[in-house]
Amino acid sequence: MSIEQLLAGVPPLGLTDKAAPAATATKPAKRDVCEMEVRPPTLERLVRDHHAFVWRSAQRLGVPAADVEDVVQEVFIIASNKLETIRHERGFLFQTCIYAVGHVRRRVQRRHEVIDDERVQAAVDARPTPEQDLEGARARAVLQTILDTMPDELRAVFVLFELERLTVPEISEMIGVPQGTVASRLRRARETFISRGQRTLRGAR
Amino acid sequence: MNEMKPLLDSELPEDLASVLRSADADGPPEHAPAEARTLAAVAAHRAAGSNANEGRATTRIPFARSMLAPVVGACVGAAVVFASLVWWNAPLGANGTAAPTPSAPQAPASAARPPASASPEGVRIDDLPTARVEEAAPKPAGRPPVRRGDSAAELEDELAMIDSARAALAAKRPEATLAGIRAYHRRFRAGHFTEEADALEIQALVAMGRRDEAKAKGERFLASHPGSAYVRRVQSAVASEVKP
Repeated sequence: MSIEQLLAGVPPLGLTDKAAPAATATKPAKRDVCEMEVRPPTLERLVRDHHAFVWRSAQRLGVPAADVEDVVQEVFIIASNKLETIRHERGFLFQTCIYAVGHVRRRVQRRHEVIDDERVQAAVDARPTPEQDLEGARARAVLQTILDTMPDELRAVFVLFELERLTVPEISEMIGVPQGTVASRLRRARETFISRGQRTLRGAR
Repeated sequence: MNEMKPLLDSELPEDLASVLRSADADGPPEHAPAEARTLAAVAAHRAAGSNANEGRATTRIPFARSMLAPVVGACVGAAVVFASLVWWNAPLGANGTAAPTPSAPQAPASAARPPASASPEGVRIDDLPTARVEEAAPKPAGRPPVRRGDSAAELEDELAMIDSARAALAAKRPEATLAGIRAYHRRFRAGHFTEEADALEIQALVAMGRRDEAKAKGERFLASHPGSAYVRRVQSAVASEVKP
């Protein structure tokens, strides 16, 4: 499933009941996880368990800082309509997040066309939190710049693997893509990260 | 796939590693309030959405029905306007110079009554399809609120109660806030917004000058919810009580 399909379609690709047989067929070993998730989650629990994850994902998938909260809320609103069909909670939320992020980015692009460059650039910059020192903030901005140049499907895999520290099989299950594809996307994403990262850092000095 | 170790666990130049590590601080700046806002947003959306869906689900017939009333109304209105025009014009047409006195219409109208729908009597309300009008009438009144799930509906109710309590406090009606919060506690023993409810109650007590109670409740709140998002609000409410 390509990111384009994702962005075009209604979100919960592959992780709802319909796709469940396929998912379980590819991953019979994950029975413990499945058992935990057999009963449809309540919205409250979803929010409690995954709010920060969705928030981070929205940030890393390229939502302007000012819009992150809206995207997070949109993701949970969509989830609240599909509680009964959610099988893989994080997978569903992440996919929905990709979908919602696509919306916001298109909106920002329109804003970008209409209003002005600088404002959008400022909004896209990763904002330093008080916990981050200046160096950290700079590093975070570099990371965001690199992520922004990655094609969406590489970016998703890179975020899940390198930043969320998930494994290839976990990612494969989450986004409904074969492990081999995940691995090859990850390799390409890393190449992008390392080459762009070095260039950006050199340029910054 | 032996190479698939995270970059941070492998040899990576320090500057690139620090770029990756910089994402560790991602996430909402303040967790609990952000979560609460998300829950509230979902509840609000579901409240709005259940109405919208209700409309959508029953679109066909009720829509037709709901259109009947305005259409019939418009017909009646148009007919009345038209009829009154005829009333005013008829005498003029008949006598040329007839003064349009209030009594004038009577004779010409009854004279020109016959079959045309232009006649005032042709559009008596009784002649209109009353049966269908009645059919349309019950719709807004008799439709029970459809609830999509108890939890969503309850969340929405909870939120409404908290909102009105908060609004009352903002409107300097702490008694109403207190009453609202008591009602909330009676109805939702283990509600989602109990912390907010407690905070509002404490603020209301302070506003009403019931300081000892506020202080006692505030201390209990701070002891039992040390990490709550409302700690600061409670602290400042109790502190403001010390000042004056």
